[in-house]
Amino acid sequence: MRKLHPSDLAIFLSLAACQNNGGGAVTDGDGDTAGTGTSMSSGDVDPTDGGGGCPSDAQFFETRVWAPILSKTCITCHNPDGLAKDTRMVLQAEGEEGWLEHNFAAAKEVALDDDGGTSILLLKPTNQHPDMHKGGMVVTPDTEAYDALAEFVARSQGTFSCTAPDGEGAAGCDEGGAGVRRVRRLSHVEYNRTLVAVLGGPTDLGLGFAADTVVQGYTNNAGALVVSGLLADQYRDAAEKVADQIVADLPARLGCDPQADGEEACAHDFIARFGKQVYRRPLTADEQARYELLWKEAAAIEKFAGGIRWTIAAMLQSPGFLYRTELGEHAGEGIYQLTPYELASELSYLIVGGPPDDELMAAADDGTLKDLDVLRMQAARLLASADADATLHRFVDEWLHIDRLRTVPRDAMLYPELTPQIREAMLGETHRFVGDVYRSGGSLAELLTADYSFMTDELASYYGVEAGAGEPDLGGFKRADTGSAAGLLVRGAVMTTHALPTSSSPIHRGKLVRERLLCQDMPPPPPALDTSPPPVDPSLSTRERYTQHSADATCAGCHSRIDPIGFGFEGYDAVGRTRTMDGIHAIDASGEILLTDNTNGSFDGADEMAQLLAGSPDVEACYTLQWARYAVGSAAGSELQCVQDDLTAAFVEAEGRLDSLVLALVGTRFFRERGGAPSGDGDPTTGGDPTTGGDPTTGDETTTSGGTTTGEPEPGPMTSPGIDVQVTQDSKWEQGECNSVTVINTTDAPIVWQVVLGLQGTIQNAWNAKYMQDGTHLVWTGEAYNAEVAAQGTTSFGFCILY
Amino acid sequence: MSIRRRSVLHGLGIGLVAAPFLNLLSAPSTRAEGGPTARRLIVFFSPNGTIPQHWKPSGTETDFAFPAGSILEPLADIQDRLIVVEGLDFFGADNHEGGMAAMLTASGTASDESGGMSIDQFVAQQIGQDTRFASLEFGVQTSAWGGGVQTRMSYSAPKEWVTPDDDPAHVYGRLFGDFMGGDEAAAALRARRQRVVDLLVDEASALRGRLGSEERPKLDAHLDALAKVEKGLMGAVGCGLPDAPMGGGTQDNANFPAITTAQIDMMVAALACDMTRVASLQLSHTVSPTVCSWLGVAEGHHSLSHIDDSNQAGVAQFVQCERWMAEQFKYLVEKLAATPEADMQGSMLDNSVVLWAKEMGDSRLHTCAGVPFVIAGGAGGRWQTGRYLKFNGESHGKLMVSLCQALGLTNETFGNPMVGNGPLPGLV
Repeated sequence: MRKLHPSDLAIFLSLAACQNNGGGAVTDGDGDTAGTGTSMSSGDVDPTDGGGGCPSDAQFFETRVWAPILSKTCITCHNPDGLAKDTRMVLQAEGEEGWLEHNFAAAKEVALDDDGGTSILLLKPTNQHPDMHKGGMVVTPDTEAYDALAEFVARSQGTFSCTAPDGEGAAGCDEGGAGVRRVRRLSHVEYNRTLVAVLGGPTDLGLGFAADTVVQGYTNNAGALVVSGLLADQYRDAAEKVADQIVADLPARLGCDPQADGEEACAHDFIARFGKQVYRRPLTADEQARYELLWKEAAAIEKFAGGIRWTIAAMLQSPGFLYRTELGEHAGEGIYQLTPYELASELSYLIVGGPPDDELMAAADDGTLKDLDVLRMQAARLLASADADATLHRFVDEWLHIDRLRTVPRDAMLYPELTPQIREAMLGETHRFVGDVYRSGGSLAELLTADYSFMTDELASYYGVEAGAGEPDLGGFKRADTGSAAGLLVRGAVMTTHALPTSSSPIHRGKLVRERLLCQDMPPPPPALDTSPPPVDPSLSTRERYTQHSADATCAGCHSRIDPIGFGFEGYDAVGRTRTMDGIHAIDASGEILLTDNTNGSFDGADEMAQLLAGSPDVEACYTLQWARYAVGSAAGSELQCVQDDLTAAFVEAEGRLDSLVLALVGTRFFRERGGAPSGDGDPTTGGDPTTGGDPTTGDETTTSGGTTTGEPEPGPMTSPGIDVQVTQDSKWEQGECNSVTVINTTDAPIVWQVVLGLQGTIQNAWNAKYMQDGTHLVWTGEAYNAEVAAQGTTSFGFCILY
Repeated sequence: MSIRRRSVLHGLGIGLVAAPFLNLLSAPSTRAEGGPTARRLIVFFSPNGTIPQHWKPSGTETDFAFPAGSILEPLADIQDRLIVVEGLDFFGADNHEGGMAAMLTASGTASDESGGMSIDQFVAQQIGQDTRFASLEFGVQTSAWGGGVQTRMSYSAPKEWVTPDDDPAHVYGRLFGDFMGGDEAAAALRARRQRVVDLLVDEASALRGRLGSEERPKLDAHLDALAKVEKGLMGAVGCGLPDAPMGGGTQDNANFPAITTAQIDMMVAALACDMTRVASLQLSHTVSPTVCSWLGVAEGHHSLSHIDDSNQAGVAQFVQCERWMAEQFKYLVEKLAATPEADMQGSMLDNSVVLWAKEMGDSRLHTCAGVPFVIAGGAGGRWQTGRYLKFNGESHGKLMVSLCQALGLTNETFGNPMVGNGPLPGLV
C-alpha cells in the first residue's frame, strides 16, 4: 500500500500535475499502474489499449507468456549461448536492448508455424512433436501455462476473440482482428465527391450541410455519423437539385430511347444502370421493383422524364447511397467476408474519398477483388491517381486543424496582407508540399524537416523568400526554398491557424504539438483559477508575457509542457511570416520538450525542434495513430486495435514512408473481414446510442452516488457521514478524464468533510481539495477555504486522472 | 390536421420511431391545470460567460436599473418586459465544455425526469406534436469546428446533439420550400415527396433488418429523421411568406450581424406561422473565436472574455461585444412584441417565454457559478415582468422547472434532482 503524506503533496502535485504518458504509449508513468513497468518502446505497444479486460497481444505475451513461462523455463536453453541457440527460438534476457520486442517476435514466429495443424509452440514444450523436444516436457497440457500458450497461438493466428465473462463480446478488437459489421454514413466530403461522380460534373451541394460531429478532429467517424431530421432535409434538397440537373441532360444520360425501346423497358434499364452507380453495387430485385413502381406512379402524372426525376431524387436520398456497408457474407465461424463490392467501396473511399471507378467496379463484378494481390494492385493504382491527393489533403487538414485556416479571424488592421487569396495560397502550398513528399516516397521525417515547399510567386513574396524557379503547376505553384528546415509545421497554414487575432500564440502552437504530434491530450484549465491571458503590454514580448503568466505553480504543471514548445515557433508571426523582432524585442525562440518518452530535449528555434520531433518514435507512433483514426474512421480503441500493430510495424519497417500505411491497412484482415453478432438477433428496441464508441470528447455524464463511490463496505477510510457526493465527468479523452465532485452536506450541522473515491488512474491535476492515496482509494479533504461545508450546503472540487 | 394512415403504419412497423406519431393520436396531456401558460419557448444563446460587475443591474427586485455602460443597458427600453435572474449555479459543472453541456440540460441523465434532454428538446417533445416541426434550431457560425460538446447546446438525449442550421438560405427553403408555387402545385409536390419518403422508409427498414444490434440505432435515427421530414410535409402555411434571405458567406466573420438578423427574422416568421412552438438561436459557441470586428474590435471574443481588470481596454471591448449581444436579444424581443398573435389576442411576446442563456458565470474564472439569465415575455400573463431576481447559489435546474411549468408542463425536477427540486422561488 502506498501512502501519500500531505507534506509530500506539493512535490507530488508538481510532478503529477499534467503528468502524461509519452508518445501515446501505454501508461506506465508512475510505475505503479502497469504490471512490471517495462520499457517496451512505444512503437510496439498498442496505445489504444485502454484496458477493458482484454490486453493487447504484446501485453498478453509479456504478462502471461513471457513472465511465467518463457523467462522462467525456456530461456535457460533458448538463449544466444544456450543449448538451444541454434533453434528458431532464441530469447534475449530482460534488459537487453529491445529484448521484449525481440522475444515477442520470436515467439510469434514459432506460434505461427504448425505441424499437422497444431502450432509448434504447443507441440514442442509439451514434447508432443514428432521430432521430440530436447528439453523434454516443460509445459503440461491442461494447465494454466498451456492455456496461455494456446491463447497466444490463437492471438498470433488472428483467431482469438476477447470475450468478457458475461459472454458479450468485449471491447477488444472483435473476432480476432475483424471488427464489427457496420454501416458508415458518407461524410459530407465523401458525399460531395460521390455526387460529383454521379453527376459527372462539379458541385458543392454537399459541402454546406449542417456540420457533423467531429471526433478527435476527424469528420469521418463511423460511430458519430448519423442522419438527423435536418440532414435528411438537406439530403432531399440536394437530391432534387441533382435530379433536375441530370434530367435536363436526359437523352445523353438515359442510355436508351423511350420511344424506340418503350418507356417501361427504358426506365427498367436506366434504374438498373444508374442504380448500380448510385448504390455502388447492383440493385437487388426488391430495390429494382421499388424504383420501377415509383417511376411508374410519378410518370403517370409527370410523364417519363418526371418519373425519372423522382427516381433519381429518391435514389440519392436512399440508405444504399448514403451508407457504405461492411456487412459481408457469412463464411462460417461467425466470420463475414466483405463482398467484392463492399471491398471496392472501402478501398476507393479510403484512397480517393469517392466511389469506385469503372476499373475497380469491373474487378468487383468478376469477383477478382477478393484476391489480396488484386486488391493490392488496385490500391497501388488508385494511390497513383491524382484523385488520391484529395484524401491526403483532407487528412492533413484535419490532423493539424488547418481546415479552420479559411475562417480563423485575424485583425485586418494589423495584418492587411493576409488576404483570402493568401489564405488559399497557404492551403494550396501545404497540400502540394504534402502531396509531393507522399508521392516521392518521402517519410514523416521529411514532412517535418524539409527546407522546401511549393509557393505561388505571390505567396513567396508574402513570406519574403525568393520565388521558385521552373515551371509553375496549373495553380501557379513552384518549388521554392523556405529558408527554414522545419517542414510542414512552420508553413503559413499551420502558423496562421494556430495564432490569435492580434498575436502569435505559444499556447495554441505548443498544444498543437502536444496533442497532434505527441498524442498527449491536454486537459482544460481547472475552474476557479484566474486564467486571464496576459494583457498586451508593449514593454514585454509575447514570450515574456506568457512566461509571467505561467509562473504560477498551479498553471505551470500543464503550461511547462505546452509553452516551451510553443516558444520554438516565436520566429513566426500570427500570419505565418518569419520575424526576428516581436515589437521592440528580439525574438527568443529557445525552448524545450519535456515529459515525453523519447522526444525530450532543448532546442533553439523551430528547426532544431523539428529535428527532435522528426527523430522521435513517439511522433512516429502518434502519426500512425492519427492516420489510423482517419483511415479507419474510428476513435474506438477496439477497432483501432485491429490494425494498430500491423500499421505500426509496417511504418517502422518502411522508416516512416508515408505511403506505407495505406498498403499496410489494405493488407490487414480487418480490411477484408468482419466478425460480430449475426444479424437478426438482438432486441430491436435496445441497443446503444448512435455515438457509442465514437465520442471521446463529450462530457456531461453524471454519475450520482450517495456516500462513498466504491460501494463495498470494506474497512478503511470512509466518506464523512452526512455527506453526499456527486461526481460529474466534465471531459474525457482517450487517456484520461476530468471530474467535478460536488460535496453535499445533508445534515443541519456544518461538517469538516472527507470524501473517499476509488482511484481509476493516476491523478494528473486537482483543485479545491487535497488528496491522499490509500491503496486503491483517494481520500479527499478540502482546502482551508472549503474544508468545512455548511449545514445543508455544498462545495465542490475537481480532478483529472490519466488511465 | 389529418393523420395519414401511412404514418401509423410506419409506427406499427418501427417501434420507437413511431413515438411522435402515436402521441399525435393519443396526445396524453401532461400540461398543468390552472394558471396561464405560455404558448412557446425561445432560447437565445451567446457565449463565453460574462464579467459579473459589468453585467449586474443595480437596485431591488421591482426597482432596478441597468447602470450606464453596462452590458444590459441596451435593454433599458424593454426593461418592464424582462425578468433578470442572477446567482444561479450549474452544480457539478464548470468550465467552457462543462458549462455548455449543463446549460440547457442541468446535467440531467437518462434516468432523470428530463431524460438528459436540453430544455428546448424536452419541451418540444411534449408540446411539439401539432406543429410541422417539433422544434427549430437556428445558428450563427456555430460549426466551423464541427459538432462537438463546445459547439452544441441542444440535446435530444445524453450525448446526442441537435444540430442548428447556420445557413439562413437553407432555413428558408426548409421552412417554406414545400409551399412554393401556388397551392395546387405545392400540394402535388408534397404528395410526390411523401411518396419518396415512403420508399426511403422501406429501404431504411430493409437495411436495418440486416444489421446487428450495435448498428441498428443508426438506422433508427435515420427512420426518425424521415419521420420528421414526413411531418414537415404535412399541414399548410397559415401566413405570408417572408422574403428569401441572402445566401452564402455563412462562415465569414464580417457577416455575423447580417446572419443574426436574418435568422431572428426567420425564427419569428416560423413562430408566427405556427410551424413550431420551440425555437433556439445559438450565436457562435463557447470558446468562440468570433471577432466583433463590426464594432472596431480586433481581438477574439474568447480571448477578451478572459482578460483581467488591469487590461481596461480589453475589458471595455468585451463589454462592447456583450452589449451588441444584448441588442440582438432586444431585437428578437421587440420583433415578437411587434407581432400580433394570429387570433389578435395580444402579441407573440405576451404568450412566449424567451430565455437568454450563457454557459458560464465569471468567464475569467471558468466557473459556472453565478451564471446570468435574462427572461423576456410574460408567459401568457403567468409572471409579472419588470423584475430583478437575485439568488445565492440556487440550481439553474429550478429555473428550467419554472420554464417547463410556464409552458404548461408538470415536471417538478429538471436535470440533476440532487441539487434542487421544484420551480425557482419567484417564478412559480
